[in-house]
Amino acid sequence: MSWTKKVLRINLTKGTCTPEPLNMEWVEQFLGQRGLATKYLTEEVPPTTDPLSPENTMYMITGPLTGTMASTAGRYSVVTKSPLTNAVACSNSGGFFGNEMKCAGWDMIILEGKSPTPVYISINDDNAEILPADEIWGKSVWEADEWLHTKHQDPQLRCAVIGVSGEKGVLYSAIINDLHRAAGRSGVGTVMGSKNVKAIALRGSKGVTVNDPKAFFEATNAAKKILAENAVTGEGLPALGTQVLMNVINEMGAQPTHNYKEVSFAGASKISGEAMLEPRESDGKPNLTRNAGCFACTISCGRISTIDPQHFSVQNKDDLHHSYHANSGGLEYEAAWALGSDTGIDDLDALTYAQFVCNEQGLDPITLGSTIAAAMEMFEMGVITTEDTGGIELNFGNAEAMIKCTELVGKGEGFGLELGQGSARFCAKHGHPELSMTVRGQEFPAYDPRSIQGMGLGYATSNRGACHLRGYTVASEVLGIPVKTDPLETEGKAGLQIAFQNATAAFDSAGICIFTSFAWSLEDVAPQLNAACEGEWTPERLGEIGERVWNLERLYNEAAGVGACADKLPPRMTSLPANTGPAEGKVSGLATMLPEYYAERGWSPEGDVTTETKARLGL
Amino acid sequence: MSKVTVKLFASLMQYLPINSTKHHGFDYDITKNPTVGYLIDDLKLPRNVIHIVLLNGVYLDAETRDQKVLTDGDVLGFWPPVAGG
Repeated sequence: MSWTKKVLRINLTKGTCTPEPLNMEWVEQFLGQRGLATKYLTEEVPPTTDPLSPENTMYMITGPLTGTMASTAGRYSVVTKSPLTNAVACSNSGGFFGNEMKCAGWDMIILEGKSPTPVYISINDDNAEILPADEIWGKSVWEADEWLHTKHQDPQLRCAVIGVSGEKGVLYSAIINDLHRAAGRSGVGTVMGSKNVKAIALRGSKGVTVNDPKAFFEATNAAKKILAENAVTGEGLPALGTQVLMNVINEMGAQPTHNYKEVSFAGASKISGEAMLEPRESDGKPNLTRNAGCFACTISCGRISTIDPQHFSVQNKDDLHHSYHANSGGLEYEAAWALGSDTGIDDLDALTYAQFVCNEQGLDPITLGSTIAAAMEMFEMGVITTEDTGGIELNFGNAEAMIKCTELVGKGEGFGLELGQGSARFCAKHGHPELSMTVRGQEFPAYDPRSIQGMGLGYATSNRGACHLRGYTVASEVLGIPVKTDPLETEGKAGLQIAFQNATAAFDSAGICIFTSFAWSLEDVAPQLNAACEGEWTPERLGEIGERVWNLERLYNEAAGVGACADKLPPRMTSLPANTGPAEGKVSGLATMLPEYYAERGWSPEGDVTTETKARLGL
Repeated sequence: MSKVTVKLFASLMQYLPINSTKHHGFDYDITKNPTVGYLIDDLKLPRNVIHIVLLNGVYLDAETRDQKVLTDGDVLGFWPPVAGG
């Protein structure tokens, strides 16, 4: 039984830390992590709750495999109501925090209410305390992390921290654990900041037990062998990380460029995974220092990078900023397109610096880059001027301007606070809501829906707003995993997207990384869960759990006012055809795919979850 | 002389000619009716490693590759199995 069956409920208003049993009845229906915490959210937080009020609750939760020896089993999720989207938020992170939480004896930590003063939560196995954080309030993630390690005199302390952006109400603040792993999207860090919680610092020494150790050993070994022998998880991801996609997506004409006006970027190869390997002139070193793995991961896709010491972004930084001159979590593809091609910037070191600032101050680089790109478009249209930007010449391609904006958003200062509201609010404020590339108020990821049709349907229906991590049909439409489908076709994409969405929800509820799904199906996950946990976990049951989780999220969004009415793409995607490449002349076929999607989901033609579907799934 | 541009990415970069001038790519002279399959063998690219082939951005499936005839100005991109997100 790899659940600890224990929950730590922290009421910040009352200042109490109270253990309670995990609801095992809900475990049977929702497994763990994303699914289980969403069930808690829907039962405890009314859908109309103001996300930044004390009435919102934040759930940090592991899955049943978290902390075990299953590959990638270091994951945890943060579930809450999002201040960016008003929809359900669920952000997943790796690193070493999730497994430490499980080892301390907790499946889930619940933060409810609001502390009257800045605090952090200290957890050492059973001992949980709410402690003053006055000394680190106003400090960066990196500074706070160092302070916590020094104060507790424990080098193995694991910390999940918000940056200044989260304190100042930037709506897409992330929670950063282990200095550069992020629960990144939908503003979960903003919710933590609204509760006056700076950090959770924990240490666990209990370990994690499994139901049948021998069977678990065999099942996890067999599954690791599959990852090792798969060309993507065994070779491609360790070598070039997610950034290997930059050239693929650009060459096929699906690269979001200049705020999604164009679908290819001339500078893509300069900011690609391949470019990160090239020695630079100044010191002969490449941008990429090495790859890195999270807890128990046998893939190790993470990037550890350095910035060119001669680059303008790091020159004249004082000692307090020494980390800019050292290694940190480097560019991932999602950061590289948003801060790079979308803003027209092909300066690899500038993008790496901006990524470092996102780590340092806890920011979602997708929403950040996309919001800056929208602001750049409005600047070039003359809608906003240097009077609005505080003197920044915000043209496409201006790396110094992008960096200045990133720093300001990170600190929640000046023009940065305005950009910190995200592109939907920023564009609406300036009279051009159509320039925000968002669904449910959350910015698109890295794939143009005109060129990869299934992804447009995925963005429009994603419960947490536009997202690539809810139904990654790129795997099939571009990469041929598990089978190749035509990215320009709409036919069959409803079923494909649903299959990806349901399976992803099951993976996200298990405590493992979604990247395993490039090699594993639910057939490979089920034996690991079966050996780890009580009960019988078949691939069919896991698929049904995924569908149940998806529908539960949808029901919450419907009640929150962001259900079917928000299943829309920005007009640019449905009326401005792609201008180059194989998709030239095409727009998104969302209008064709959406009715098919509703029907295949068992929803009404209007997109509402029907009574029959609810009954079938036990909702 | 007709030319196509060949681009090799990720682990296939090791097959780039030393004197390749374009980023990740080089020009390849074509004679009459050359196919993608002929080019792969002529350049000694490892067929068992090649997974994604894009001809002017359009995916060529494994069955089509050997027969597909190249024309002047085509851009061919090759990748091993890759993924990200």
